[in-house]
Amino acid sequence: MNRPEPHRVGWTLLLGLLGIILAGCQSNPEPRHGQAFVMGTLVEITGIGVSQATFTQATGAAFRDMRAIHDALTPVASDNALAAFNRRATRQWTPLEDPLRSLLPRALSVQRASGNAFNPHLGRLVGLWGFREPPFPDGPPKQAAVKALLAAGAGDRALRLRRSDGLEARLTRPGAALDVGGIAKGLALDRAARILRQNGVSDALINAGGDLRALGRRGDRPWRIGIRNPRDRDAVMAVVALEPGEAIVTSGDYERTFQHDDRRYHHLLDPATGRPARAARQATVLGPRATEADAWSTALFVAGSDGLDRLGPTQPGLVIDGAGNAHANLVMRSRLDWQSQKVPAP
Amino acid sequence: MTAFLRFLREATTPADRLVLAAAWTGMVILAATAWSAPAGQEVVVIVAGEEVRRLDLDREQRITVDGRQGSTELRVADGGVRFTHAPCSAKRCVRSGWQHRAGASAACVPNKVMVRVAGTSEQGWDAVNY
Repeated sequence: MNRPEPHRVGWTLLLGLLGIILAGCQSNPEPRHGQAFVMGTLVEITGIGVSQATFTQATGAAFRDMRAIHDALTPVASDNALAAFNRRATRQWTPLEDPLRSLLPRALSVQRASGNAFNPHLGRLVGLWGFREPPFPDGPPKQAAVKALLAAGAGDRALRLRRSDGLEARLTRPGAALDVGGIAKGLALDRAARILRQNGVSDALINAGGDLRALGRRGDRPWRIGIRNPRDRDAVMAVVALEPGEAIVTSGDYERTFQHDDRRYHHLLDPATGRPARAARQATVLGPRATEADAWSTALFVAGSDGLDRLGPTQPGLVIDGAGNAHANLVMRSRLDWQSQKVPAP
Repeated sequence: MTAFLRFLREATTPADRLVLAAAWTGMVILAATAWSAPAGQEVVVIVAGEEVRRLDLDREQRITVDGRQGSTELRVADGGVRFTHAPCSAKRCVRSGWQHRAGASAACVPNKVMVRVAGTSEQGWDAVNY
């Protein structure tokens, strides 16, 4: 039998060692971070396996697009696309331009599927409650004012779409005014993901104030996301691994709040009552598009655990109800790595 | 084991074994420095998207950084960082409390000041959804 040539074996072993070392480096590549204050929140993008120059250029483009969406859709401005639509749409059909053109059909679709639990035209009610921007008020509005807006159709299904030369929309009730705060951040996440891909970033995590969309993977493993306990901001209830391209969006009663007479009031209004919804503390939805996941998380929050039936069997959903109990559909249960001792697993 | 050592002795020259020993030593050092480094030793302070400072989390200190609306005060103690004063009206940044975990962040959105504990989370997730 021929003995292996000593030098060859030695170098083979050495190269093998180097391979192991390099494989270890590959499995945990150095992340790159970009951040901007956009859409009233902090947006962080983490990229993997991309040069700093490519990453900076791609995130810059993504942040610019997010700013454009915010500028067009913020309910605070009086001279943007949203304000222009609201001035006309209760009286006449109004041609839609982007981003409303891509947003409204999807908003209407979730509104229908959720049985109006997601309602994209609660603008007057949100304004009445003072939740458009901080500082938030010290107390709730008069119930008579809420009732008056409901009587004017503020919580009804009032959005209509039609195609003529392009897409047109109108609002059929005088109490309705478009407020797309429950879906616009999702659209911004989806478009940011597309822009990053177009600019050479294939593995990234976009985090817009706690709502996230993944691109690809984090090296040799998926992006892993902790879902926060709604009553303990330092605690994570469960961890979920995102599929490449998947989004995770949560709505909770701890954002945009004020206290009055020992009661917490939050900005997620129930279209049926015109008041903060009380069926859930938190609702989380996973999906291939952040736009729909965003709208569905609001719908699920408003509807509570009953809303899981409307969400359907294929889209993962998790609800922490008003009493603090966890409910999830089957497909979500299979995805959750439950960690909380305080909240029993669904 | 003995058979493997005998094979190694027969299949390599002393020079090979020297190179292998050096490579193993290098790998051990790499593992000790890169893979076992304690996470969360530094906090990165970012204003309007630009990194302005890095602070040692082991050194107790208070610093003030200027943002869009005014001065924000940060406190570093016990391996963590927190906002202690901010010019914003909602004070959500101050209420967000201490950030210890590597990868954890907090921000004052109106003043455009952000802190992020450097490193990768050792707790099994890359970001928190809320």
